Amino acid sequence: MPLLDIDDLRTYFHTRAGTVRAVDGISLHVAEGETLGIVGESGSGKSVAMLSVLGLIPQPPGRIEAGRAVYDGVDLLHAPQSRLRRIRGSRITMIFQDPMTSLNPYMTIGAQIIEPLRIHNGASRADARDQAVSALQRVGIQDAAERLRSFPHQFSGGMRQRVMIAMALVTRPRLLIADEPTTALDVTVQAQILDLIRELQGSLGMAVILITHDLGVVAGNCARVAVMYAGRIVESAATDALFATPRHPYTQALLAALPGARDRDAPLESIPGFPPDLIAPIVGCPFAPRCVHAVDACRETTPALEETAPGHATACIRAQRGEL
Amino acid sequence: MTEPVLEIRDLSVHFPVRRRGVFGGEDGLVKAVDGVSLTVAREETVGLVGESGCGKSTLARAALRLIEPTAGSVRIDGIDLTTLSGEELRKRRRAMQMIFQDPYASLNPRMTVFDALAEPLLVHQIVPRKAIPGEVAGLMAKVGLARRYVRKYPHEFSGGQRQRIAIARALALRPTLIIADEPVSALDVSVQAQILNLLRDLRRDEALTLMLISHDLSVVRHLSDRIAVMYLGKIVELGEAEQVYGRPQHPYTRALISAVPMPDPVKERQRQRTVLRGDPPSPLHPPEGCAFHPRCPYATDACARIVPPLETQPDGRRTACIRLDAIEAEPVA
Repeated sequence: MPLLDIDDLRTYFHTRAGTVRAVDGISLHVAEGETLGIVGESGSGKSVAMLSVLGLIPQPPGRIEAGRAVYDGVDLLHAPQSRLRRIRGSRITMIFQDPMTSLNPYMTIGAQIIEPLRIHNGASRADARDQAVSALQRVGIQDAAERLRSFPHQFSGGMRQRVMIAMALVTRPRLLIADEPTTALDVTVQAQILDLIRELQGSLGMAVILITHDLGVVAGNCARVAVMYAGRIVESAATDALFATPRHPYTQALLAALPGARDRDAPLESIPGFPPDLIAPIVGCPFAPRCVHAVDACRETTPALEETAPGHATACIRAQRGEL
Repeated sequence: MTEPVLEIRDLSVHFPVRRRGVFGGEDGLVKAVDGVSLTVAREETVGLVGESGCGKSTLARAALRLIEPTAGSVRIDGIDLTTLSGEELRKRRRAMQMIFQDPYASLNPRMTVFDALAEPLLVHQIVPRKAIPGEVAGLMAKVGLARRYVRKYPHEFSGGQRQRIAIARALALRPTLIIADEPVSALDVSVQAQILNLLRDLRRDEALTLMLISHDLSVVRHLSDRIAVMYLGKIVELGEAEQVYGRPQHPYTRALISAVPMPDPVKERQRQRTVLRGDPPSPLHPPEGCAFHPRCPYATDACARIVPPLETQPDGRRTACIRLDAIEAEPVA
């Protein structure tokens, strides 16, 4: 049984300009201890999907139109707030791209790490403090006991991200959702943070959903990947299979567009045009207007995400027919 | 090599930092760029890589005298910009144009594409007034913007298209050199490839000379003839793109290349990575000796004392590291 099972999630934003179908019917699941990558370009709906699951979408203008997200027998999309609060920040935690916007600048690091322990675990002050010290040590922060008294601005970007991770893991969650956790960091620091997440995942046995735009980050860190485009999942597979035999034309194009993937003197395979406007209703496959393989049928029928090989699902009618 | 278009010699940019506190506090000096020499030959593309705060953007701005250099000289087409002022500086500076990361911030939101492209043509009297519409159309064609967009405003475009407008605007002045500062960092991968291909085509068709600044090594490698790697205000390695990327010498270059995640799960599992200790140092308190030594897996006591000179190596590249022989001898990952 999967740890988190999302079925046909739809999150729309009702704006003055029209209804934005940010997430338009996605289904995915993550097993205990597994790392799932969600890749997509900006606006593909990858963050909104996960924020919806945790009830963090501002409503209005957002609205969860349909779907279920079952964690431990509880549908998070329809659970009462009190129930959700016991799970969020305790059993399922989330870290974000920019630690400075998630850390409270007026509170010491210590106070912020201790808070969830006091609230969720009912730990005593002294006990919570000890746990906070070991949480900071675990993420590689020196002089942890001293550092509890520091404020966020006294840390570098990489250290702040470590503090965020310490906070997210202090309650020993079963699922960590990491939304572009290293995008704001330099590459050498990114490597440190990704190693840290992987190491802690091993020792704590939690599942991780890693949201990223970087296919390189996925390749090195995830067991399975879901590729999102225009609010839908267009392909999902085991990481090795996705990179070795990408079946959806969007995934193929994305891989070919990376500099370094090909001969240096060859031009990059760019994808013509840009992603669709999510306000206008999309008829047919959302990628069809940019797809080199598109035929008339692609512009008429909306492709469902179906298995084209065991464990490898693709939302492309031509791939499903074995034509690509 | 042909004569250099741009010749930066011993350029330094130091920013005084005043600390005022209850206890007074000491004044500091941030050496954002510290004695950098770099040349760009005609029709060459030189890539400048480094992490945030290494001084790569400051170097570019100082080259244009958008920031006043503390010391050193910048020659463009043989003329020293640092000695010029007023009208003469403006005239010479025109030969260098800059493209920035965020085209939304560098385009005036109240100017249409036409206005944005016509303005530099008019101000610098590049073409006669009545030839401007034709020239604008030509520029738009060069960067792949459809003519029907000519009366549109920046907000009506996607990020990639805006970057095309910014590139067209830079081309309008027929510059000798274009400095592109993180031109694709704000763009999605699929659009990033479009802009990289455009820069590539322009380089070939317009005989552009380009200085390309990026934190992304794969982007720099894709376009550059030579690559300079910066760390804390200094160039630590400079050579042919394939030398630097394919066989990096300096421990920092090695770490930088090995830290970039590769979009290939099999290679990712196999390769040995050099994960650096610690964060990049504060430029206010740079380490003694080699600035990289506190994070360097090969550092010895001598590295903490000696500032390594940028020395020419047998294969022609230049590297600033006193431990090269030892590192080459024991190829630890």
